[in-house]
Amino acid sequence: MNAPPPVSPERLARLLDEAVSQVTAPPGTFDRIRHGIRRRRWRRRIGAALFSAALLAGGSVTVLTVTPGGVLAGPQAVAPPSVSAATGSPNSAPTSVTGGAAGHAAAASGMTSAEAEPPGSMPTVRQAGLALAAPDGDQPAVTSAKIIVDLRRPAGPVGY
Amino acid sequence: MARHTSYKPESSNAPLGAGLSMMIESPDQQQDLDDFTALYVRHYEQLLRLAVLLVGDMAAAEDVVQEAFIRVHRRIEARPVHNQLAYLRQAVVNLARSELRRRLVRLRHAPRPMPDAASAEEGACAAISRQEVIHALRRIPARQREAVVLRYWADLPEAEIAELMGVSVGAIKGYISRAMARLGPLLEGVS
Repeated sequence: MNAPPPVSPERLARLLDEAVSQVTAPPGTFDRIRHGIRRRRWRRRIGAALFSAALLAGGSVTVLTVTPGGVLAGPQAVAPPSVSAATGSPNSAPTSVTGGAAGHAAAASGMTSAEAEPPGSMPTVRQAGLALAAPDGDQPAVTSAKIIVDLRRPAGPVGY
Repeated sequence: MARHTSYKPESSNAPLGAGLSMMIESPDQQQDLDDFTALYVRHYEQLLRLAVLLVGDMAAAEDVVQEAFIRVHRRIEARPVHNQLAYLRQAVVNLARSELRRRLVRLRHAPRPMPDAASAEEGACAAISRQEVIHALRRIPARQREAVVLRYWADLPEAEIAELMGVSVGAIKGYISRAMARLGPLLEGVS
């Protein structure tokens, strides 16, 4: 049995043309394309904004961690909180930042508030606040990264 | 040869898509359209027909061509495209290929239809007047179909088809010859 001959190019071209000659663009196609373009443009803009925000946040964290005396420097590298500097002499009593009965008692007896209260208790927070308080009132004594370290550490002379 | 210099020149005066014909009221207005809109006016319908021949149904073809236009627009925004029509045509061929691949995956995982249920494609192909030609095209491998449609429907030279499909001219000749041999029996009873 003979196989049918291949289709001729002319016949194929005619059949293909006839097959799709009635195909037309449905109404609203151009609007759909424009809508698709607009939607993608917004999606791209939102993506770019999120990426920039993430980049900024990442940069801030990096700056905080690599600051001298920051988290990466470890406990040994960090100087003791400037509690003693701020309340070094009995005369220069701490400002109201210290607060609390123990703080006042400590000031009266010449002790720092850290020495008067047990490690790991609420005074640790006050201690950090005290460290932040500038001795001369202008320059902050420590960076924020240092405060984070101070807050994690048990208070009192034991740790130093 | 003049036959190969343009993309279906006999159809370049085809009526505009209904969506756009409503927007353009006078020839002056049409002059003011930007390049992208002009691209749509000139080529959308022909590219839609090309996509119908490649994927075999109207809805998928529309998706393919719309996506191609959106991609071209994005590309034009980034940097100028020299031959926008060639880029569009390539996008349509690539997207049609992806669509067929996705369809294969869907078919593999879809439940079997009821024996007497009409297929979804029957409704989607209402505009296609010669279903038997489309069915015959679907029975040959995708590469052969692309080559034969681009050669005998879009009138592209073999070198251009080779560039578009990313193969050699010899491979295109082989695809076309095998496609013609296979389409012979498939289109035997079609007048």
